[in-house]
Amino acid sequence: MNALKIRFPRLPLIFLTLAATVFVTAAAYAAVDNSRFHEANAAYSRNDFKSAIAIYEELLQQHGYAPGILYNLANSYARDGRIGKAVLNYERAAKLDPGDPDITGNLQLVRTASGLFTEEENLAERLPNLLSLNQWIGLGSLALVALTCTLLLSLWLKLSPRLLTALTILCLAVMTTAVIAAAALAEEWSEYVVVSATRLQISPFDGAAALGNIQEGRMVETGQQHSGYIFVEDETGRKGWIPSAAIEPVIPPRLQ
Amino acid sequence: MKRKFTKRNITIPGIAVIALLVLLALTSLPRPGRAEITVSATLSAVSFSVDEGAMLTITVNGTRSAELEIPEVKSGAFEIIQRGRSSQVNMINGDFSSSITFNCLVNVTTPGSYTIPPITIHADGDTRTTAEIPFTATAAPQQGGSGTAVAPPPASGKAGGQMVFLRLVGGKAKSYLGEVTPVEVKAYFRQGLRANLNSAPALVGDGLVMPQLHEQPVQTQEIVNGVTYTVLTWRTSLSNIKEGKHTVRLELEATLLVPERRMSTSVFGRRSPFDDDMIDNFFGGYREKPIKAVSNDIAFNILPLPDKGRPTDFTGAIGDFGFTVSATPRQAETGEPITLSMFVSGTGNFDRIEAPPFPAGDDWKTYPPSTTVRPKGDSDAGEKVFGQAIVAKNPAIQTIPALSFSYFDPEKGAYITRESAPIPVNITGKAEPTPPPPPAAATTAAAPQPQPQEPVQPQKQAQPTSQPDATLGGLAPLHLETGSPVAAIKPLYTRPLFLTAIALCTLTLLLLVGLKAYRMQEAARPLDLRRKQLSRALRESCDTLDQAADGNDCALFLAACRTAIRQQLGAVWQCRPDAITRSDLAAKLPDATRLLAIFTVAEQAAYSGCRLDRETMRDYAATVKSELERLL
Repeated sequence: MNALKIRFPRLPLIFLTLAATVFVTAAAYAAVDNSRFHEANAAYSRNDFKSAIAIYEELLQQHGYAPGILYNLANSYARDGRIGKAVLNYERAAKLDPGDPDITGNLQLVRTASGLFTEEENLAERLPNLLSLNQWIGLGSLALVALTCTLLLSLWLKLSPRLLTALTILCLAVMTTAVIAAAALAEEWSEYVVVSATRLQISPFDGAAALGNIQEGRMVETGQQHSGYIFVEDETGRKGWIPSAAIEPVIPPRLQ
Repeated sequence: MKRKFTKRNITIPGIAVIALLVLLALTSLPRPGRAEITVSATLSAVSFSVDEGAMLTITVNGTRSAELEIPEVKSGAFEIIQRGRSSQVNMINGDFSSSITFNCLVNVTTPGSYTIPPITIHADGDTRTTAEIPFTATAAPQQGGSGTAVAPPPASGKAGGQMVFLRLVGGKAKSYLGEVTPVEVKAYFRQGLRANLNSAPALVGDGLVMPQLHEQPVQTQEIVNGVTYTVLTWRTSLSNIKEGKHTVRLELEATLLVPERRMSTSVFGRRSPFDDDMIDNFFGGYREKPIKAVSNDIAFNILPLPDKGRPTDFTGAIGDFGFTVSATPRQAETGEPITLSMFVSGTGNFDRIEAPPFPAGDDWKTYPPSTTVRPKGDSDAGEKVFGQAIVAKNPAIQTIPALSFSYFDPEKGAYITRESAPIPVNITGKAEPTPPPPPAAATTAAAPQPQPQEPVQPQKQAQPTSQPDATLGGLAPLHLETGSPVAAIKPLYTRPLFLTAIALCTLTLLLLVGLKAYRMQEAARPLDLRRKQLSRALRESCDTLDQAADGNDCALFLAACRTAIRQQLGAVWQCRPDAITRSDLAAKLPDATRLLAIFTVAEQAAYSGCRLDRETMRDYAATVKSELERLL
């Protein structure tokens, strides 16, 4: 009993300490300087996009990637005429907040206005885009948990074999669909965006023959690198070498 | 039936019989008498060049088996490599003699005078050594050496006789800055020479660049000054990147496989016994010799493009081109895109051709063009197609304005401007309002401006072509909340907590599936399952019996005996255990079993009581256990 009396007050103490640690860590990122954020918004409103961009970039460096900051930054880049950077930041914002209609709508608008037309997708290509990557992963995980629970319950409860089979098939189908869709979408997370229009070259050295220009805002997949050049393939299937500095990854490096 | 007597039936057994007889005859030959073992060593030449080598022949007489022990040359200036051995058996006037000949190759790396040290021969338990042999190695004749440049052909027409040389065919001595000239790079290897290419030919020098040659060359044969060469040809191009007079050369690294010819090292002197190159090479092997072939210096004079008459829309295209424009559809409403296709075809530096600018005006809204290059064949001919979406804003438009494309023709030494004809279109609908001027960078990034002053330097990175569009004013408004910031944007599946949860869930699922499968497997074998159940029940009954016996509880023991027998027999006989009586046991069990007696005692004890000592109880327990196990 004595031991219980001594230990009991410690449990909430440990819990509180842990919670405080988590809170403080989270607060370090959560406490975005709202005054600076509003200052940037004000600069955008008076068409001073360059100042707005500078403040949004500063906020990102200080506090981390927030969907609101990335979205506003993308808007500023778009209005400043830097389509590549705009597309990049819309894509990043969409990764954090895939359900936001403003992000997807503005991204679509910027793409269309810049002539970044893409080929019509067929049904199989459209299916993965019904949900975001994390939503597909969540759905698949839910199906996995449901299947585990069903099988676990069947050890004690007398479930009808038909019901058990139907539930198992349903869960497996959902899991398979989620894995396929997530795999398709995961490729997009490794893509890059052309942030400055450049020449697509046949070889990775200065003065090599060009295959044409690659427009800023184009999404590209990357390959090997060679002396400042990187091999890319864009959405339209064109392949070639471009300067490495002309592209940026959709998923940015982790902030220190 | 009479068997057909074929030729085949005769031949196979016949050959076998003859082979057997020959074998018998050989084995029955008298063994040569043991003679004194003598050794001798001779070198095919006392003076030879380092790239030829010499043949050292060691003959061992008086034995049919011997082993060489070649000493290592400490200086490393030459090496002795055993290349083969041969045995001979001679019969002269009924006397047999045998000898073994070892052939060794003497390879020298540095010219000089050397001595082959004594070589030890072990034969029939005896040891002999050869005498020292002095020799002189001279330098190899000049035909390219390790890491040295092969002398290029001195002048056109005097190339015959070289082992390897390079030529550039098709280059223009006088050309213009930015011009691309199709050329052929030819590597000549004298016929019969074996070589591996370590690299493709590369251009060394300033002022011109040649793309890396990745493609496989075309292999042909040419005769130069009466000498046949195998020629490797790469088709490529030279781009002029710097004006002025420049001298360049071609280089190629290769490894020659130099045949170790028997001709110069034969025991028959300077002449091969086969007198056949192919056989000599086959027996002689090859030695690798890295070389770097270098072409003659090639002079180029690169002229600057003339300023006079340079069109404002000239972007650096040099060559001979045609220009056509088409549009689809020809009938559209205002706001509906029309695809303008601009075709530039011909020969020249297609990489410097940019889309002809669409004339500025308020009637049309234009989008950045896309580009496609279609090479034609192996030459520098091709076609560059620009696709541009244009949108009419005014229904009064009747034609798509004429577009122009300018280039420099190096043959004529003048600028040429090609202009397309206006394309008639039928635009319907309402006039779209003129968009307001773009806010910030609109004035800086208007329609792409030609760069007449710098058309000749290779463009490292094009200027941004996008421009702020009035439609971007329709962007959804800013967000007033920042949202939750994160240090890294990463998908759910990379988070450790999620991965741990999924791993645990998967593990549980696998265990459950395994358990289910085990149960299904058990259910599929009912006999095994029943046997296991009976064994478990018997084990439990026996435990009860033992406990009762240990506790000296006679009534409990006999009741447990009765229950155990009934349960097991009920399971075996497929009937209710409590319905089994003594008469059932008497009828169904064999006479020799003691179960009947124990069951009788237990049944009587249930009604009249009974006393059993501990020993008897243990005996009964063991009997019940063994008898019931036997029944199972």
